[in-house]
Amino acid sequence: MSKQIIDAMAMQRALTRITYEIIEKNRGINELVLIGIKTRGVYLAQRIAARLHQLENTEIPVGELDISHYRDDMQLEKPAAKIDIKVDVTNKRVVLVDDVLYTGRTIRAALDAIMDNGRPVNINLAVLVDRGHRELPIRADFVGKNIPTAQNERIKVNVEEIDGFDDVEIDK
Amino acid sequence: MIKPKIKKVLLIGGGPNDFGRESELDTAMIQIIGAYAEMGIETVVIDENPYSLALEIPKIGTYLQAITAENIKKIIEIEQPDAILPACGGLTAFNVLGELLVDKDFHLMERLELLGVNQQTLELINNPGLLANRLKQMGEPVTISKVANSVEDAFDVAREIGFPVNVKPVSAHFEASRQMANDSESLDLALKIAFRQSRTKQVVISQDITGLREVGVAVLRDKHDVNMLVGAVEDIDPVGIHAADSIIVTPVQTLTDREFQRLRMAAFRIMKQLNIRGIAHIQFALDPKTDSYFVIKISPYFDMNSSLVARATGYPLALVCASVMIGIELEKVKLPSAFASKMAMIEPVMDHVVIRFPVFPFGEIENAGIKVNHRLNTMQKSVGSTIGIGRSIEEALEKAIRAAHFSNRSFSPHIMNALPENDLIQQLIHPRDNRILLLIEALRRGYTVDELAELTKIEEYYLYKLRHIMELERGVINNPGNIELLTQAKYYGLSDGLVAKLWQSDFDSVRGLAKDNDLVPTYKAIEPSAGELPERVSKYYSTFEMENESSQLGEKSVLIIGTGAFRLGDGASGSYITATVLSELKLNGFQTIIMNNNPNALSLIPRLADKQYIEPLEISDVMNVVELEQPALVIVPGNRIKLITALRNRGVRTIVLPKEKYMPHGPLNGEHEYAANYYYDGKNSYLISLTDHIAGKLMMDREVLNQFVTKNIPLPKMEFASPGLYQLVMPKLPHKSSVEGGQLRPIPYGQIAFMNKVTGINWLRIMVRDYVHCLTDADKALLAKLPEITWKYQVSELVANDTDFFQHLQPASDLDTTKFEMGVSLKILG
Amino acid sequence: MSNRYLILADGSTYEGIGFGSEATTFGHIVFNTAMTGYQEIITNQIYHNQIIVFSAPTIGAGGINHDAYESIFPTAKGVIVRDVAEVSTNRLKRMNLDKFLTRHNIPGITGIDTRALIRHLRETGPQKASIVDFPDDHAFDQLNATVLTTRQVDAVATPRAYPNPGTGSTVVVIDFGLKHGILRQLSLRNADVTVLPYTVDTETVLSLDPDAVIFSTGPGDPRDLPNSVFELMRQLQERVPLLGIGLGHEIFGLANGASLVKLPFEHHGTNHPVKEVITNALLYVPQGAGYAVDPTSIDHAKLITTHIDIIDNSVQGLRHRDYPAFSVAFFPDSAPGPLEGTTVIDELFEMIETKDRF
Repeated sequence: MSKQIIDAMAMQRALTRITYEIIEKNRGINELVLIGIKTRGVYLAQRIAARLHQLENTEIPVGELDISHYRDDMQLEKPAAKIDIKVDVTNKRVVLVDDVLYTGRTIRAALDAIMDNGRPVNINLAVLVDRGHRELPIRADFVGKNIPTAQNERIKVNVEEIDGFDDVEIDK
Repeated sequence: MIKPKIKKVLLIGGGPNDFGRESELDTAMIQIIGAYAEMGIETVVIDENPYSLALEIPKIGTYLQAITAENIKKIIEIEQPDAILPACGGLTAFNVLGELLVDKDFHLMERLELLGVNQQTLELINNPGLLANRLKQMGEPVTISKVANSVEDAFDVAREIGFPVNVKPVSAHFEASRQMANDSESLDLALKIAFRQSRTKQVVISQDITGLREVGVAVLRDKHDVNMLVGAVEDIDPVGIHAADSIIVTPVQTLTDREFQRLRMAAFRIMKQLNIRGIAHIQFALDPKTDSYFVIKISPYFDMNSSLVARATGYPLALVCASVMIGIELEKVKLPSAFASKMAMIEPVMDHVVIRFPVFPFGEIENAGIKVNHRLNTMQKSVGSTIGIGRSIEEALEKAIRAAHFSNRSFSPHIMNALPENDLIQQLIHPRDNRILLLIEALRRGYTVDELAELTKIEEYYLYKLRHIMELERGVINNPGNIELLTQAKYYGLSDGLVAKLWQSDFDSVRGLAKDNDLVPTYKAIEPSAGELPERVSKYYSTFEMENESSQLGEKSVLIIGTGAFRLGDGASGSYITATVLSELKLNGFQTIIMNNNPNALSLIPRLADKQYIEPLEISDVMNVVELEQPALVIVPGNRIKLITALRNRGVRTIVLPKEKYMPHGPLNGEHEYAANYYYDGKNSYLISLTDHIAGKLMMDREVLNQFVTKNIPLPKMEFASPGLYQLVMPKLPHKSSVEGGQLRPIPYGQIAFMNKVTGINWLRIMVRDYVHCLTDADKALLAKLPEITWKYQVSELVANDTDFFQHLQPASDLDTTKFEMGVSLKILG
Repeated sequence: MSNRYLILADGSTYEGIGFGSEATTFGHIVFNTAMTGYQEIITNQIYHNQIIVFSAPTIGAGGINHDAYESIFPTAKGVIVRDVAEVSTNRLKRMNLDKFLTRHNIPGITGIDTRALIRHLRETGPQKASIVDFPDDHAFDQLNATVLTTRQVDAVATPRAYPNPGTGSTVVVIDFGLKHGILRQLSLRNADVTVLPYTVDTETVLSLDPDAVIFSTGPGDPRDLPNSVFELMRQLQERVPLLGIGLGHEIFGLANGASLVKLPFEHHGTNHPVKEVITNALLYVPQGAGYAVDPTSIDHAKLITTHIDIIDNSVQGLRHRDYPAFSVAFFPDSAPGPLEGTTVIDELFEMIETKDRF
C-alpha cells in the first residue's frame, strides 16, 4: 500500500521555500555551490539551481555525488582515489542536497567525500523529507517536510526527470 | 529526453457529420493548419467528409479516405510525420488511434509523437469504465458505474445501483450518447442499442443523476502545467436532457463563486492528472442542495462546447491550441497581429451573454410524412444550433430563438393558447423541443416561478427571465404603437417582426416607428477582456445601448449572409459553401463581412472574413447591418426568398447563391434518379458531370460521363436569374436529344461540394469569380473545354449511412438519408 | 424603481434604473471584470468609498449567501451593472442583492451601458463619481466639491482585538480592513488567530507568541497611514514569519524602502496571469489595487521580486532576502476568484512548520 504524502504542488513549493531559505541563511548566493547526492538529490539540486537562476540570474554550480562507496554500512572498501564531484568546493559555501534524510549515514559519507575534494567555508544540508530515526548527530538546515515514519515504512520520492511525475509516497 | 523538433504533423479529421458533429472540427483543423503553416510545420490531413474545407487547402498533404486504423497506418508509412494530432477528429480519432496502439507490429509510439494526450489518457478516454476508476482514484466524484458484458450482467448491475440507470457503449463506433433507463423495458431497449454500438460488445451501466445542474468548462493546459479556463457554460435544462439539446448559457450565471471555483480547480486537477496538453471540455453535474458535484464527461478534443466558448469570448482557442499541443508554453504563444499582445494568456472574461439554442429536425421529418417523438431525453435529437448574443439573458435568448427559426413566429404567444392544462403539466415534466414557449405559456396562465422551478428543475433565475419576456410581450400587445414599450422590447431583444405580429401590424411600420424614434442598434465588440484592453476587433453583435463600436468597414465591402443553424438537409454543406465564397472573395481582393449565428460554422473562422456580425438573420437584423455597412454587394443563399425580395425592394445590390427553398426529395427506394450538372454563365450552359442517385447514395463516374457525352447530353436552355451551378434531374439516363420529365434546379450545396472534390476543381470559386467579374482566362478556357477535362477521382460515391437516425429519433418509418446531409462520407472507388 | 444617473467628474453622464438604496453617494469609480463573486466583491473593504462597475453583464443570480461575505458591513458607495437579477429567497439564498444593498445603504444602478462606461474609464482613468437622481449642474457641483476621506482604513479596520480560536499554529492578523477570506483560509488550516488593530505595538504582538503575522488587505493609500505601522512591520519581520496581503504588501514594500506608483489602469479582476518568478509558473488570481510597488525603487539587496503581472508588468509579490517575510499584492484567499493563489497561504504555514530550524 503506498500513499501520497506530498503532491507535486507541495513538492514544488517546498523546493521554492528551501531556495529562499538558502538565500536568507547565506545572505545571498556568493560562492554558493550545490551538491546533489545521486540519484534524486541531483535533480533536486538542479531544480534549486534553476530557481536561484530565475531569481538572481546567476548560474550556481551543481556537483554530483555518488556515495555508495563511502557508506560505512556497506562492506565496501574505500576507493583509492577520491570521487570527482565535478565542482570546486574549496572556499565555497556548499549546500548538500538529498531527497530523504534518515539515519544520517549517507550524509556522513557525503561529507567525507566533499572534504576529500577540498575545503569549503561551510556545508549546509537541504533535504526534501526528514523522516527521523537518526543514528548520527546530523541535522538538516533546510527541510521540505518533516514526516514521522516507522522503521519498516519506506519513503519514495518521485521526480519528473526519472519517474515522470513529482510526489512523495509512503510505502507500508 | 530531447525530442526532435516537429516538422510534420498528421491531423485526423472529423469524419462524416452526425448528431453532435457539425463543422466545429473542420473549423479547428483549418486554423491549426494555418498556424502550423506560419511556423513552417507541414501538415497532412485525412478525412472523408465531403463538406470538409480543410481537405481543399492548397499545399498540404490531403488524403480523402475513411478514418480507419489501416488508412492511417499507410499514411504514416508514406508521409513519415513526426507527430499525430487527434484533437480535430473527436472521439472517432481517439478510437482509431486506440486500435493503432494495440497493433503490436506497428509501434505507433516509437514512430511519432502523440499530441494533446499521452497513450494512457487516450486509452482512458476510450474506456469510460476505466476512466471512472481513474477519476475515483484521483478523488474526483463520479457516478457509480460498472462495465457489463452481457444483458444479464447489465441487469445485475442495474439491480445493484437501482433504477434509474444510464447505459453507454464501451468503445463506441462513433460519439454515442448515454441513454437513461427507468425500468426493465427501457433498459432492454437501451442495451440493444448500446451493445450494437460497442466495438467490444460491452456497455457501462451507471447511476442516474437526472435533475442536477449541468456545467461545462473548457480548459487549456500547456506542458509546464499552466492551466487556463477558457470559458464555462451552464445548461438551463437539468441533467437528463442531452447537453446538445439543452439551452446553454455562458457566462455561468447561477453558480456562486465558491461552487464555480471548485469546478475550475477540479478541471485543472483532471488536466494535470491526465497530462492533457491542449484543450479539454469537462462536464460536471452539480447538486447545489448537497453541495456536491460529479464529473460526467471529459473530452480532450475540440467539440461543440469548445467551439461555443471560442465564439462567445473571441479567444483564439484553436490558434493557441496549435502551439500548446506541440509543446510551446502558453507564455510563448505567438498570435497573429490582429490580436492584442499577450491575449493568449488572459483568461477570457465576457461582458455579454451568449445563449446557444438547439435546432431540432422534427419539422423536416414530419414534412416527409413520418411521425417522430418530440420528447427530449439523454439521447441527442437536435441537429444544429444557433447562438444569440446580447447584454441580458432576455436579449440573448430572444436573438437565439429568432436565429434558430429565422423569425419569432413559431415562438409567438398565440400558438400555445389551446393546450389543455393536463398536457401542459405533462409537457412541463417531460420536456419537448418547445419547452421555452411552454414555460412562457405556463407563466401566462399564472404558474409561479417557484412552482415551475420545482416541476422542471430549471433554476428559478431563468424562469424570472422568461416571466419578464412574458410581461414584455403582454405589455407590447396591450399598447399598440407605444414607443416606451417598443423601446423596452428592443432593449430586451424582441425583433421588429415579433412586435409587428403582436401589434398585428406590419414589419415595415414597426421598423419605421423605431427608426423615427432613434431606436437603432448599437454594435458591441466580442473580445476576451470585457473592455479592459484595447484590441483590433473584428467580431460584433447588436444591442440597443449608448455606444456603437462598429463603423463602416469600407466603401466596397461584400456582405455574405450565412446559412445559420444546421438543419436536416441543410447543414455542413451550407457552411462549406459560405466559407468558400468568403475565401474566394478575399482572394480577389474584396473586403468581406459575414453575418451568421451558428457557432460551429466554418464561415465564423476568425480572419476568414474581415468582419463578423454574430446575429440572427431575420430581415431587420440584416437590414440594420446593411444600413451601417452600406456594402457594395450582398450575397444571400437562394432559399431566403423573403430576405432577397426585401433587400432588392430597398435597392440593395443582391446576388443570390442558387438554392432551392426546400431540400429536394431524392429517389424512392430501389429507383434511380440522374442529374446532369451544368455551369451556367448567364447565357450558355456547360456540362460538368453526371450523377446517379439512389436512396442513400450518389455516384459520379468519369467513364459513364464519357459514354454519354458521345451520345450528346442536352444543353438545356436556362432562364435562371443568376449564373451558377444547376442540374437537370431526370428519371432515366438522358437519350440522344430529348429529355423526358426533366426538371431544372440549382445543384444542392452538398452535391456541389461532392463535385468539387471529385473533379478537383472548385466550381463554386469559379462561380464567385463570375459574379464579381473576375473570371480568369484559365477559367474561361476551362469552361470552353467542358466536359473534356481531367478529374481528380474517376469513380466515387457519396454515401449517407453513418448516422443512426433510429437511435436518435426513433422515427416511425425509414428515412431517405441522402437528402439529410448527415452521416455522409465520400468514397473514392477509382 | 426609477431612473437614476451616474455622473463622473469629467462631466459624463450615464442613465439607468436605480435599485438598492435610494441614497445619493460619492466615491471613486472602478471597474471589476470578474464574472463570478459579486457578493464577495461588494463586501470587500478595499471598495470603501468606491463605486464598483461590473463588466459581467448580469449579476445577482446567486442571491446573497452566508458564506460569501468579505465583511459584515460593506462600505462601497455604489454598484453599477447592466442587468441585476431577480431571484427567489429560499434556504440557500436568504436575501437578494437589491434588499442587501438597501440594507447597507448602497445604491445601485442597473441598465447602464457598462461596456461604454468601462471603455471610457479605460481612457480617462479612475476618478470621482456620484450616483444621483438628476444629473444637473448642482449634482456636478456637489461632486466636484466632494473631498473623499483619506482615512479609509480607520473607517473599516477593527478598533479592538478579537480572537478566532483554533487548535493549530498561532497567527496574528494586523487588520487594515481585512477580507474574511483571509480568516477563512486560516480556519481551514486550524490556525489559532488573533486579529489586532493596526495601532498595536510590537511588544503586544510578540506577547501573543505568534508563529506568524499577517498584515491584511485594506482600502486606500498606505502612505496615509501613520509611521508606526511601517515600524511595526520592520520590527516584526525580523522576528516572526510574516505575510503582507494587498495593502499589507504595499506596507511591506514601503517599510523596506520601496516606493509606490499609482497604477494608470487599476486592474480589478481575476483573469490576469501572474508569474511566479522563481518557477516561471503562471497563476490566475484575484486582484484589485490602485497602487503598485515601483519596480525601480526596489532595493535588490533587501527585497526579491517574486511575482509579476504579465499583462501590466506590475510587481505582485516581494520577499525579504534576510528574513522569512513576504508579501503579495493579489488576494491569496481567492474570495472570489481562482483558488491557485491559496498556495501563498500554504507557503506561510510551511514556513511556520520549519522555522524553528533557525
